[in-house]
This record gives sequence, C-alpha cells and structure tokens, in this order.
Amino acid sequence: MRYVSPFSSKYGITPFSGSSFSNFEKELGKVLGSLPSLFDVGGYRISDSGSRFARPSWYEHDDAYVARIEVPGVEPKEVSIEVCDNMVWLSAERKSKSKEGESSMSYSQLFSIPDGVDDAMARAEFEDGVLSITFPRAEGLKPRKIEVK
Amino acid sequence: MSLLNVVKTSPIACKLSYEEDSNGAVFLRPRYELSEDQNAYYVDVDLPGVGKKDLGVTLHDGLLELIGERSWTPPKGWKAVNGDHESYSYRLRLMVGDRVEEGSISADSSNGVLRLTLPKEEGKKLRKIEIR
Repeated sequence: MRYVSPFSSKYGITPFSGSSFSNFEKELGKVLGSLPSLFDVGGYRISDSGSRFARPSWYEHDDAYVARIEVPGVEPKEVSIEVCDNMVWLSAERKSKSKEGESSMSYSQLFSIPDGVDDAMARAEFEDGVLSITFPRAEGLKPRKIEVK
Repeated sequence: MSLLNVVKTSPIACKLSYEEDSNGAVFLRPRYELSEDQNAYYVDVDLPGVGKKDLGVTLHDGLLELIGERSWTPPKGWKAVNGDHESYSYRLRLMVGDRVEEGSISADSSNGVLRLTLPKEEGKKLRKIEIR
C-alpha cells in the first residue's frame, strides 16, 4: 500500500507488522479510511503497481453504519471483503479485455470500522460499480431514547 | 481530447476533474481510458453509481458527448459521517475524427463502466502493402 505518511518503515512500523492489529494500526486505518484528499487528488489515485485506493463514504443511522465504496468495472463475485478486529480489508479485481489479452488491475483498501458494531452480521450489496457494506450496531448499543418524566 | 491525436498504442488514462461550462453548470469529468486496436478505438469510462437508464450518449458534428446522472440520496434517517454526496452529473466530451465510422459507434455499460466502441472506417484501416 503506498501513501505519504510520517510512519515510514525505517521506524520499524508498517501496517502489517505483527500478527494482530494493534491500537496504533487502528488509528492509521482510521486516517486512511476517512481523510479526504490527503492521499489523492480529486478522485482515484493511480499508482504504477496497478492498484487503486477506494475510499469509503460513511453513513450512520440508528440500526447500522454503512460504508459506500466506488469500485467500477468489477464483477460482484470478484469482490473480497475481510473483517478482522474492527478493520476491513477490501480488495477487488477489475478485469479488462484488450487486443493484447486480458489485463487486470485491483482496488485495495484497508479501513477501520467504528466500535459497537456486530461484525458477524455485516452484509454487502453491489450496484453499478458501488459497493455498499452495512454494519449493524450491536443490540445493546443502539441509541435509546430516555424519557424525561 | 481528440481521438485523432491517439498515436500511442498503450492505453491513455485520464483522471477525474471538474468542468464548468458557459452556463455555470458544473460537471464532473469522469476517469476514462482510451485504447485501440486495428479495428476500432475503445473508450472505457468509469461511472460508478450510474445505471443504464441514467446515461445518455449523443454524437453531433464530430463531438461525442456522454452524460451520466448519479443521483443516490441516502434514505431518511441516515446521516453522512464523512460527507461525500453522490448527486451530480458526469460529462465527457470527445472529438471524433474522420477516421471513425460514426454510424457504427456502440456503447455497452456494466458494473458502472461504459465502454464505447468506435469502429475505424473500412477504407482507413491499416492495409498491408505487398513487396514484390
């Protein structure tokens, strides 16, 4: 994953060091997942290795958090979403046919999900190149109205 | 960007950008890629969130214009957390040179990508010249 950041590997810190996601990596994931335009200029960032970021747009409502991500040109079955420890790893392959044969390029994004969701119940929908992932809020943590007597 | 200037055989990719026209309307120019083979030029346009019914492609006087409406609004009760509204128009304009057979231009849309196929005119295709 390429980005400009103060956390370069000479400090011995990379997003994938160690076998579990630490708190530090959660923060990094939050930065990458939600900061607008720090790492790309007005849209997709195209890097030489043929992979692209796909930043999520987050929405929330009483029952769930929803992330919408643009991945045009991808077939729904080519999308891979892995959830681990409040982080989501999304990757999707985009195939294109040309005279030389098939070429492919991949979207790849690591982002964190808010606390208080039941990630076993997450579900995803895909329409017209936009992936929409819904993370229902854990039962006990839904907002409750408190009556004032 | 004029298709007549396409001399590279590797795809040319163009980034997303904003355009304002003379009436003050703002459009988003979508990301697209140009490629070609001996039979035709191909334009792959990234239009996430735009379905077939929201697309319009017109050709007039050598100008190919593509407009896609993206109009997803969040359902009632949803609050945007990192505010990216999805309600705008994509517009792409390309000049089509006289190498293209205008009557056979075709368009195919799937998964948010529109592929325009612009066949090259028969007489203008590459012809092999025999060496006697």
